[in-house]
Amino acid sequence: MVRQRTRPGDGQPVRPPADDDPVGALLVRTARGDEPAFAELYEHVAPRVYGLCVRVLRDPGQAEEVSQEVLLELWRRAARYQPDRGTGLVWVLTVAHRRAVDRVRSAQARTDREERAAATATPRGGDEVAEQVTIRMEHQQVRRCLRALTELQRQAVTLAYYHGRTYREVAELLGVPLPTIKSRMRDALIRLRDCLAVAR
Amino acid sequence: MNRGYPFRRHSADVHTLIGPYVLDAVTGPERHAVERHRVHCPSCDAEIAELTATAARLADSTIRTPPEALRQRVLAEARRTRQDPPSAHADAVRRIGWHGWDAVAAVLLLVVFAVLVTYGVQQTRVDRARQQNAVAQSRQQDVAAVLAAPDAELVPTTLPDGARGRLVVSRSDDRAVVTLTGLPALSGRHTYQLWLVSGAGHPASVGVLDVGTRSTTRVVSGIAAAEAFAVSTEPAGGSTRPTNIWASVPLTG
Repeated sequence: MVRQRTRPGDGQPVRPPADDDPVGALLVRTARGDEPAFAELYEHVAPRVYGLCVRVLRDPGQAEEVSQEVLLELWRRAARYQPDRGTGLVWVLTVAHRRAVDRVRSAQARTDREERAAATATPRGGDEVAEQVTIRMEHQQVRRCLRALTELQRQAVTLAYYHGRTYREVAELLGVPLPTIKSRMRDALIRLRDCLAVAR
Repeated sequence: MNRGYPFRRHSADVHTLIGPYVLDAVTGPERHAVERHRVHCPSCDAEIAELTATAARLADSTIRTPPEALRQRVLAEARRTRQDPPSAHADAVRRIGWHGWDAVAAVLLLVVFAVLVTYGVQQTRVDRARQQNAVAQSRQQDVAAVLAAPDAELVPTTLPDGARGRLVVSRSDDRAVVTLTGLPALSGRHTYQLWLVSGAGHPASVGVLDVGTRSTTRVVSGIAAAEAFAVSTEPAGGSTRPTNIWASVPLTG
């Protein structure tokens, strides 16, 4: 496959591709040790990987460390990506989310975060403020679909995906029995799937 | 596979874990149970794949420009890192030969090493964070001021070559916040320069990126009179007039 440059849809290359899969194509090339393809892959996915890590870890320093691990894992394990099992972007985000969640759950990470917060009280960078505003303007769709869930469904998804909580912790936090929380998570994902697919 | 009641009860338990599994809200053993189960259950496997793609969309609302240093570190590290083979044998191989005192000694060594490294890294990080603090603070105030302006407006920004741009303009504040990411790499000692173009005079330079920089967020002043924002490619250090306009974004209308 000689693809000189992935063709971005109208200037929005980091959006999930509808029928084209530039990230998947770059992963396939990366698996063959193609360094320029990996550099291009970085440009496509780094803002998503880093953004997700910041959201889950709530600490730019640790998010940077975990992002580096994830991005290097993409280089090392690109050959594990199977194009027939989903788009490249989904694979990348699955790897990134799992890593971020593993880190947020480790006791060491918690201690580090607390120590650092006390030591430096780093202000939110300009990028963060800018991103928050533009996110508000640009990424209404996910928010709209999240709002369409029931309160319990939304909290379950938010605590699990964005805060890295286990379903047991979520059940405890929300005061709901375990079987209920497990099925609410699944129901919520099914509703999100339908909502996001319709609006696409 | 019909192995009777115990097996079926087990799969039913595993089945209820699909939602938590997709959200990474399970423990390690539960994760493995689901992964073993999906191999034998095509319908579960299809559902997990579909819901995993849905969960990935939740990351749509978290995109953020990473620090430029990350890119350099990742690409340099990749150059030095050997890639894994396609199969999953590596994990199994790693377990062979780990028994008895060998393992205990190795674990002790690792713990000592980890403690030393963690301490060193921690100190460096705290120092670095302190230095960045002052710079970030002043820039953050500028960015926040523009974004908080009552007339702040997101200007549609389409860039060539897969790059991404965002422009939030406040005419009352006479400033804009520009975010550029994924700028294509330039050959030789070339870089990007940012301009404001007004109807009458020459384009005014509002900043030059360092050579090799491919993303930036900055506050640009003097927006009120400008009709367009432009990005050009220039020799290192920038030019007084744009040499080669790479992208232009109209600000009026």
